[in-house]
This record gives sequence, C-alpha cells and structure tokens, in this order.
Amino acid sequence: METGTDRTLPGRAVRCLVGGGDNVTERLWRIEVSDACIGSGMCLATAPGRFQLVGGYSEPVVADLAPGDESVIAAAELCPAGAIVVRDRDTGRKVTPTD
Amino acid sequence: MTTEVTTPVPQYPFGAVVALELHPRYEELRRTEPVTRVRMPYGGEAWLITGYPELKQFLADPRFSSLKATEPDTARVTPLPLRPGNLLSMDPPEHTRIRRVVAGAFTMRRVEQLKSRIKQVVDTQLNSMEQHGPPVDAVEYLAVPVPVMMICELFGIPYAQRHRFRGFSDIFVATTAFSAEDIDKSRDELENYLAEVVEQRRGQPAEDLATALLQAFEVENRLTANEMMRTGIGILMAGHETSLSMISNVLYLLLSRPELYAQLCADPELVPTAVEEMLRLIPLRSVGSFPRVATEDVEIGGVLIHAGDTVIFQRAAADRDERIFDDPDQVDLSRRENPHLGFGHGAHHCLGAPIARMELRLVLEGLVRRFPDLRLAVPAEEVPWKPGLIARCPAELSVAW
Repeated sequence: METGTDRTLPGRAVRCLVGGGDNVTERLWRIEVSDACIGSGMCLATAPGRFQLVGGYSEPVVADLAPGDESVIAAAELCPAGAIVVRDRDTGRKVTPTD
Repeated sequence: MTTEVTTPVPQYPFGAVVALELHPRYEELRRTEPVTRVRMPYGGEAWLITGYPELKQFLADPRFSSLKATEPDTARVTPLPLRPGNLLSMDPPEHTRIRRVVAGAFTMRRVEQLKSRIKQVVDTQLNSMEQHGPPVDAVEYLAVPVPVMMICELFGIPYAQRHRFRGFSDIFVATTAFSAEDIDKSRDELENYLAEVVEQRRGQPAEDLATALLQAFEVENRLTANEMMRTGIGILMAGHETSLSMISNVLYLLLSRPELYAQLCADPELVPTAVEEMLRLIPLRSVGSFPRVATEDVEIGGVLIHAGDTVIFQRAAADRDERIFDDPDQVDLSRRENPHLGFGHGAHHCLGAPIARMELRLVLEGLVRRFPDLRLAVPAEEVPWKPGLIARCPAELSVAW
C-alpha cells in the first residue's frame, strides 16, 4: 500500500469536466453561496482569497473563475451548512457537491 | 518623585469554576482589555482574548498555529499540552486533508437523514423516563444515551453491538474517577473495536463514517492507517463528551430558571432560537482553552502579538460582548440576531455542529411536548458538578414531573 509523503489531492472536479470531453480552458466555474450560509468562515480558511465575509456571511470574491482550484472544491465540501455550490458557468452543471 | 507602578500579570484561571457562571474578571477584561496577558499554571504567560471582534479575527487568522500548541513548552492550563494527531491540533494542509475525508459524514443532508433516527432515540429515552417514574437522572436518561446512539449511527456501529460500544464509552463519561491506566486500557480496547468495525466495511460499504475512513485509506490513499484510527477515535470522543455536556447544561439552565422552561413549553416554536441562545450563553469549557501559537507578529485589537506567543480565549465572554449583542447577559429564548461563536469560527468550526443542533432541538422538543411540568428534583444549588478542566457538566441532574 502506497503511503508516500506526496499528499496531492485527487482533482476529482477537474476530472468531471475533462471526462465530458469539453475544452476545459474555455469553461468557467461559477461559485454560489446560498442563504444557508451560517457565517462559519470555513470557506475563507479553506480557500484563501476566494471568499469574503460581508455582514458576517460569505460571498465569493469573484463569482466566475477558471476551473481547477481545488481549494474551492474543498471549501464547498467543508462548508458546515452546505451553502456553497460550484457550477459550470455555461451549462449550469454542478461541479460540487460531488455526492 | 514618581514611581512606576507595574501591574503584575494576573494568574490564570481567575478562580474556581462554579456551575455555569462566568468569572466576573472576564467581563471586566472584555470591557477594558479584550486582548490581555495572563500567567498560566504551566509554561509561562499567554494572551487571553475575551472580546468578540478580536476573537473572530483571531479564529480566522491562519497565522496562528494549532499544531505548534502541542509543543511541550506551550503556555497552558493543563499539565500536558494539546495532544497531536487529532483535527483540533492540526494545521492546513493536514487539517484540510483529513477534515475533507470525514466532512461527508457531517453534511446537512446526512444529518437530515439521521434526524428520524435521533428522534427515535429521544422518544425511546423519554418512554424509559416515563416508565421509571420520577425522579430520574436526566444525565443518565438523556444526556448520555442520545449522543452515544448518534455516534454509533454516524460511525456505523451495528445496532446489535451498541452495548459493547457503550461499555467502552462509559469509562469516558463516568463521573467517578478512573485511573489513567483504566482509561488508557479502555482507549486501546475501543481502538481495537473500531478497527473491527472499519474492517467489516471492507466489501460491505455503507453510508457511514467507518466506510468513509476505510475508503479514504484503502481506495483513495488520502489517509494513513494511523490517521484513520486516530481520526475515528478523535471524532468519537469529541462528539460524545461535548453533546453530553451541552444537553445536561441546557437542561440545568432551563430548569434552574423555571420561567424559561415554561416559556418554551408555551411556545415550542422557540426551540431553535432557544438552542442558539443556550449555545451563546453556556460556557461549555471550564476555562479558556484551544491554544494557538503565533507564527508571525500579528496585531489584534490594537495589541501586537509576537511570533511564538501563545493565545487562548474565553469564548463565552466574547459571546456576551455588548458591542455585538443587545442585553448580552439576558437569556432571550427568542433572540433573532445571534451570531454566537459557540461552535467556533474558521477552519476549526465544530464539525459536529449540525448534529449537536439536531440533538439539542429534538431533546427539547420531546421534553416540552411530553413533560411540560418537568422540574429539578433538587434545589439548583445542590446539583453536583463534574470536577476537572475540560467541559462543564452536572455529574447528575435529578428531575421530576
């Protein structure tokens, strides 16, 4: 069992886009934070620079970004309220949550 | 001739812990010096944060390290420093990696799925209470079994084996002291037992934490075997003691002020906001804890904290900050604006928060519905409290109806 020191996380989200045969470089991700946000600040801690607290609740710093930032996927997974969704900006297909 | 008067750095903790009372010194400090120096029983001086904006900033700031606070010379309240190897004593990227593995078991969606199970457990316990007749110990009948059963459900411990799990966990929740050897032995046995449970998932995956852990280790190579076990036990123990204590403390507070319990019975719709108010007001931790160490100079609340300094906080003091909360010392069961920090903030925000909220709501909803004349069976001042420096909790909470 390989338990090396390389802890690169699998880029599951990127695989979703690539698997569709799409031209990844032309797609954008859209980050959405819903009303379910409880202001835990988890997303800021997980994806520095991608989220900000406004009036105590989270908003993306920039709503549309180039795909591939694993920290944004992590933020969506770790949100205690499940308030973060990342979609393909054009198709609306969800990139997260992955379950 | 002037003499310079230097205020000596005060000794911490400030005094004995009494029931759910917050030492008045915290409030004084929050008003005058929300980031202040104290002298810890071990390891020297530390910074103590008691103000809300200061605490929130601190909790969100990645320049404070939890991992560094496991070092042997960290200023601290306990003889031994924070143990390494569990989520609370980790920093990114390890922290993020491990938390992602287990986060799936704690999503709102999963908690919703568990809701009917929690409700069943609560109803069963309330039936037991009714059957037994007053008085009963609410700690024994509610505060212990509800979280324990929920942890079993979450982890995936087979229903038929729950008594076995409870056998191990009883040592950790017992109010009488066990020797360090007993506790260590119990912990080892528990670890072996959990390894068995995880092993059972091989080839029989389920939607539970045991499967998530095994999968992460074996299939996805995201955890070492050691991390898998330590994380499992860590979650088990953390989730257990905190929920147990909070359920007991909430009941203590509401029943020691009968007008509060009556208010809730008259209007059960208030239960969710009442739970948040309890989370705001109840000082769960006996003393300020969860130390972190500054990895660079950081300014908080106008105070310069130097690299290498240890910082602790008293969350319950910050959650009574008049800069944030109107009538902060009032128990307002219908309080709407309640951005309390009871579950923390930032990367270490309580993993079990959705479950804890669910448990507290369902316990209260069940009680107010079925036991509207619930009351303490002993005077509030006679309720015994568990000794120790971790979580505040009644040792026993005798109730009648």
